[in-house]
Amino acid sequence: METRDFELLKKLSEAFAPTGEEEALFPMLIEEIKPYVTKLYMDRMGNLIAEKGNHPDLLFCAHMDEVGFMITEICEDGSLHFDQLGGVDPAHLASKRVVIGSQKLPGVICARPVHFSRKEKGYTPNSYADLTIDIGCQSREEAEKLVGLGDNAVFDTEFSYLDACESTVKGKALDDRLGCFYLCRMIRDPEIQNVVFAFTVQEESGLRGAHALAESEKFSFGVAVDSTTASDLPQTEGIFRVCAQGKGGVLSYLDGASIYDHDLIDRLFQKLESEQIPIQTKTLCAGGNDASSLQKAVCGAKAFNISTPCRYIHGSVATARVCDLEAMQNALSSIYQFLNAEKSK
Amino acid sequence: MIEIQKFQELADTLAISGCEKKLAEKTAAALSPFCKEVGVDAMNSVIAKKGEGKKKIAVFAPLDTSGLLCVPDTAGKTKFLPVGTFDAQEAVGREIVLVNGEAFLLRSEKEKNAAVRDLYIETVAPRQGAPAKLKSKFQKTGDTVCGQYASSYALYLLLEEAAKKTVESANETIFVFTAQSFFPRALSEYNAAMRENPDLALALGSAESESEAVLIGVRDGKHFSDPNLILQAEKAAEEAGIPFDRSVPGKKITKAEEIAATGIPVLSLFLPCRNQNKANESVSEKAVENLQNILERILQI
Repeated sequence: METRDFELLKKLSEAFAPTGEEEALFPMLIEEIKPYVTKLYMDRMGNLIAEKGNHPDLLFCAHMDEVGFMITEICEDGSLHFDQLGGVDPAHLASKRVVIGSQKLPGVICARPVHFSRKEKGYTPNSYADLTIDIGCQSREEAEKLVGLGDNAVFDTEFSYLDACESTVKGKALDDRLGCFYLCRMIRDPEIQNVVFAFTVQEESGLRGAHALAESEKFSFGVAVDSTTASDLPQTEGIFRVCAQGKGGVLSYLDGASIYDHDLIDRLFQKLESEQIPIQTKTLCAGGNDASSLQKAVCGAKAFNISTPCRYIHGSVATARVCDLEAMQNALSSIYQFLNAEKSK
Repeated sequence: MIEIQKFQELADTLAISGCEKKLAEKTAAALSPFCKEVGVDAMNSVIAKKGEGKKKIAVFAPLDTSGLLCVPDTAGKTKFLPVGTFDAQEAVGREIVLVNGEAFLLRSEKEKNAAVRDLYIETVAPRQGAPAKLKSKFQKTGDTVCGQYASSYALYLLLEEAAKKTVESANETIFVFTAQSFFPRALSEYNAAMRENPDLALALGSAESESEAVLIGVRDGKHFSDPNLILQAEKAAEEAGIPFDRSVPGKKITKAEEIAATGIPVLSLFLPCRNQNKANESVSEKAVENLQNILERILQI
């Protein structure tokens, strides 16, 4: 990956932007895309919308927000009870580092030591009621000087290459800073014109940003660029692998929230395969993404979703293969050409 | 008059939820000569408008059926994702038709309580994501037509016939053949209702019944039909001597709920059928005729 791209992705991944509090990304994205767009504005919901060309009705969107936590109680001993923002499995949280608020106050999610707790009921925390965040304070009074109820937290994970060959990247919030990254690169591309690019808010808390966008603007086609659940792990076989890393982007026929136009997806597969751009589909479906909101608006668009296969998403660290990032970028350029041709039919 | 050939044509069309494009285009073309305006929306629902008048009445019926999408399996078999509600246990041992027209026996990895993820066929599907549907050979015995999805096809044909028929009416009628009606969260009915904004709506569906009387839906799991529309429908049926019963399907949730969510008064009308969602689902000619007659009268109110 070129240094410029690596630095952009690192900046996006490490930004503090839990669902509902995406502001930290605005200056980064605006700085990155402003020179290339004809119109740049924010709607009432907080979606950042960039237009290239005049009156475009073709939309590519990616969500800015990430999963995280909200502080719900400051305890007598200075520790913090919290709840999830988006879907995060509490069983995966013990001992994880987090940062709280845009000031990035460090914290650690509490876990009992293995020496004493293994036999105890509740050793593996399976509910948020079992968990607290330790911020090093000894009393409620001390903690209240640093944190307030309703403050948000996200994982504290450094973005970097995972391996010496630089074939895999790891970081938090790849879902969906990777999507934002692709959109930035598309905006830079002089070949891509007459498109609306939307960086949406609150996807992780119910596809809300895209819903507001789709109800206020009419698009003929909408593409939600996202990340999805690669489960190609050693102990997983058959359809339970869902999709695999190293095999390109994932184009879905359906997910937990929508069925996409089968004919359109078929023809996209044919085009991408004919151009030898790696592409795959999923073998199990769960959850939804912004394409659902684009499709289900009253004057809905022909919408679909393409995602990067990532391992461990919605956890403290996710991984993605660099070859898949390149395949995704190529697929998006090809999809842009395809949809432009469809519009002129 | 039930034409079995038309049922078989629909059965041979792979118009499962999300794959309605061809059927939508065919339906729109067939209705164009009879309607003042025909369109296909982004979800592939067909919307055909007819007449002018004091009221705008929308009638909704499904365009699609439930089905399966093929997915690759590392063992060289083909497995499936369900599209809409699909009774896996009932489907084991039956044939499914793939997009290339070939039929294969559906097997299960589990002997009992099979779920869709347990189903497989011993062949590699022509392509991943290809639609597949249970094979159905329609038969007619006396005045009863029998085959998988018989009631859905009967509703489609009934609505198509109503849209083609020239009826003097004081109202404007909007015929909506909804795509993705078997996908619970698709909102295709909701969105069409929001866009067209009719004064009232009729949602056609089917329900299990031993009789041939039209079932006037009073409530389902989430929605109540408009009380005035229930009374008007019952009055119209009584005057014309059309047999009817009130239907209270209980927990069953119908797509009328989506229309009701727009604030538009809606009435559910059910075509009575037997063995619903089974291979031998059956609908009688008399039941279809009863629903057709009641529909024509309600469109005049």
